[in-house]
Amino acid sequence: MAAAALLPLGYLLVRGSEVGLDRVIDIATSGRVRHLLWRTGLLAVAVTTASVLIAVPVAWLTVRTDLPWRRFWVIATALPLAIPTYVGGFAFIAALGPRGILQGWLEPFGVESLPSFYGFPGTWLVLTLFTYPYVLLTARAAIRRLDPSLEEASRMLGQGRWTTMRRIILPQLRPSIAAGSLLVALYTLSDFGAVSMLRYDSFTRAIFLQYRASLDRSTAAVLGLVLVAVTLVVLSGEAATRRSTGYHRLHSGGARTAPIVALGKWRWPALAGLTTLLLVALVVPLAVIVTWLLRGVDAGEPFRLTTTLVGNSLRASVLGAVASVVAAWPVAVLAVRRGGRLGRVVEAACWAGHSLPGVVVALSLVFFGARVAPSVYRTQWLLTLAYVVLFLPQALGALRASLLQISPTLEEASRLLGKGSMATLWRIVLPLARPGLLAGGALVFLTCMKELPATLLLSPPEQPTLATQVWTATSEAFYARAALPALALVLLSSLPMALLVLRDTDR
Amino acid sequence: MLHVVGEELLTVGNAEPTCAIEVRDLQKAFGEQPVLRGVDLRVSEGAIIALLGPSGCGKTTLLRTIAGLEQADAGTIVVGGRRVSGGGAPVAPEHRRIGMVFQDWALFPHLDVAANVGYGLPRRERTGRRIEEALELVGLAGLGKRRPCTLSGGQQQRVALARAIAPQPAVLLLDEPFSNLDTTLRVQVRTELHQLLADLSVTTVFVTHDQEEAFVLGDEVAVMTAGQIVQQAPPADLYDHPVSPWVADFVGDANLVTGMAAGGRASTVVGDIPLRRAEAGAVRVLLRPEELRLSGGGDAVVELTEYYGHDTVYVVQLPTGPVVRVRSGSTPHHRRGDAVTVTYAGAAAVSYPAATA
Repeated sequence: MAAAALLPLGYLLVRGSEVGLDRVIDIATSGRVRHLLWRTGLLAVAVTTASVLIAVPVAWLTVRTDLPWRRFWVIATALPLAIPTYVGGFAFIAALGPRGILQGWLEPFGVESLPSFYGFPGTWLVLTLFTYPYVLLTARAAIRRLDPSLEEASRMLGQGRWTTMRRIILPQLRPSIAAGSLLVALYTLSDFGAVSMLRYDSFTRAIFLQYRASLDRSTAAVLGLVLVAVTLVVLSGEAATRRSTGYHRLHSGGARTAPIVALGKWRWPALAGLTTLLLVALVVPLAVIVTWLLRGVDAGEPFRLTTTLVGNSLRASVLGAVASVVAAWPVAVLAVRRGGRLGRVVEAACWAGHSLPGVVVALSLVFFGARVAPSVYRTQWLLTLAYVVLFLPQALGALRASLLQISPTLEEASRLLGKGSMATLWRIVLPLARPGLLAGGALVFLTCMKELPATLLLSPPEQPTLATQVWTATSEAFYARAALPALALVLLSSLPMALLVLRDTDR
Repeated sequence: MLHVVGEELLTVGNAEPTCAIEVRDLQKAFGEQPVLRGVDLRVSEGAIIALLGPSGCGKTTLLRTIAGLEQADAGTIVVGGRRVSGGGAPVAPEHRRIGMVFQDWALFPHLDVAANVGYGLPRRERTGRRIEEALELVGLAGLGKRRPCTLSGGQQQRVALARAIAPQPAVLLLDEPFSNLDTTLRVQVRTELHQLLADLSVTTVFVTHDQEEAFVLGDEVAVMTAGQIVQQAPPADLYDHPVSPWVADFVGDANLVTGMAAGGRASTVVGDIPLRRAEAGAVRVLLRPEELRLSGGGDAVVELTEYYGHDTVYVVQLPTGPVVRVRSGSTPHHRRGDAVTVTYAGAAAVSYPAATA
């Protein structure tokens, strides 16, 4: 498993070494790479900052205040995560871009063109709107875990609400916010769909264009290695902030739930803010998609293809989810039950794949498939392998958590009652781990549905999926043709998303 | 008598020892469930009061309401002569000048020991002297740079105490101060805390469900059950004169033996007992185990012998009716199955009309 997870990185290194060290250094230090580094870094910082600024107040409002319809907001504010960034990008282009809805409205008034939505502002907005839920979910979980007696202790020591927020609560939340920010930053580094559609010059787009436009695959490989290095820098930065000790609860504390804060006169501004967010991140994109869908129907756009597209997407995602869960199981058991160095090494190797951008993994598997294993190249199998490499950690995380909750004494009891290890696995461990298996599977399924670059590069040519169809149609400005697959994609992925959020809130 | 409520109390209350906390007719319900049902409590300046009661009696809620962490539905709370709850908006917890040591100590895990202790001090005093003094007081001088999670349970508790007393609160509240400690540590930490509280002479209210803790630490013990304080007295008074059979049983081993009273005496299965108060008719008489004596031969039978080291308790089946507990000197003289006679050797006993619970 670990070997499979490390395969792409290894292959990239092999490929890079074939180029020769001098050439690698030449490419890596070129003005082009410096430009890409600056653009990519700027985007990552801007998106992460904006995500934190949106997500933390929203998390607080939806967990600790008497906000009206709180349960609705809990789910609704997390749902933008179900909209892939390239679908969001498509929606905003189709609304604000040339030949888009807004320009159509303004044309009678003589407006020939709009200020460009392409480039930094559009990419920043789209990536922020559809990735802030990563911070929201982690911050929310952390707020729920806060020990209420710490706040009470601060109040008893003469500090008011705001001081308590600044001196006690925010420092407690910092590691979780950092973890969520890490997800956003990594996502931004590896995002391919939005940056490509909105024509923002970042690493992933450059790698893809390099690969597509020329036969010079070495340059693409070197660019990929540089991007991996950037990712590693971000990862180690986060790890360094986490090492500054002492954020865990000292005691389990009481089971008391934290008191709900009355919003009072702040209730209306809070509602207005949340409504704006919901409009921009959820309602407008969906409305735009539906508008183009209706225009397509009027224009007699053929929709027959779509059931096949849905079928292809579902098959690829289900395969990816099942394969990831199956692959994650032995790793999780090893890590939880055996522990030790072997467990840690294997687990770390599996996480490595996760920090690799999808376009890099896809590219190295393309190299690998074309050179070493032509029999699987451009088949479902190589795509499934890419999904497993990319998303195994998601399944691993969920499985690990649920395995940790199963006391080893339960297995021991089963063994002493005369059941063999297989029978124990089947009758004790698997039933108890089922929530984790399902959650992990749902998460991977969701991510596979949304995945674009690997699907684009690796899916069998005769089997386009919803994702690739949205991509192709949008890049050729056939907005109406992209609308139906985009809508299907959003609907199919919001279902597991809602389930996951609900499960999270009920815990 | 005091018929005045609230802040006017200051002027009226001068004749009596100054009252650090006065709680009157406090009511509080969680939803439909009443938790405090008219609590009255007076704590004089500098006293240590134990709030003793079984779990679910409302003692922690009372403590949290005094602290301002819960809001009362009705009634008043006066702390240091200032009304903090009842009549007008309740004073926020941060303005009550009350220090509190939480059951789980609630040390801020992201701050070191010194920063925890200095947390409640004004900004300019947050460095150096005050913090070092507070740490010295609790015997933790020099540990200021440590993280709370690196300290032992007993040390963490002392940090929590230092943090609570550093801002010099008018009143100190402790919620189940020993429940988070190993049983082996408890007695030692209890003695240390006792010494500290005695040295500080700050008014203290602590909550416990352990009768021994309440008796050892409390100048007075307030016994609470079903949302009311049923008796508040110094420990010895409480033990000798419990107001009801329930209190008698809750604050120590109690044999409640039925008998017929006439004049100042009651005839019971263990003989004629002198009563503290003249009663007539059916009564229940409180006989503490240490007031009973065993002698060899007779028609009572030793059912169990429990050896505690410093003394021995016999569980004795009397010929007619009840089983009683008898406590005697350290060496066990009787064994299971021995025939014995039980006699009463105490002074005038407390009695209750037979119907009372």
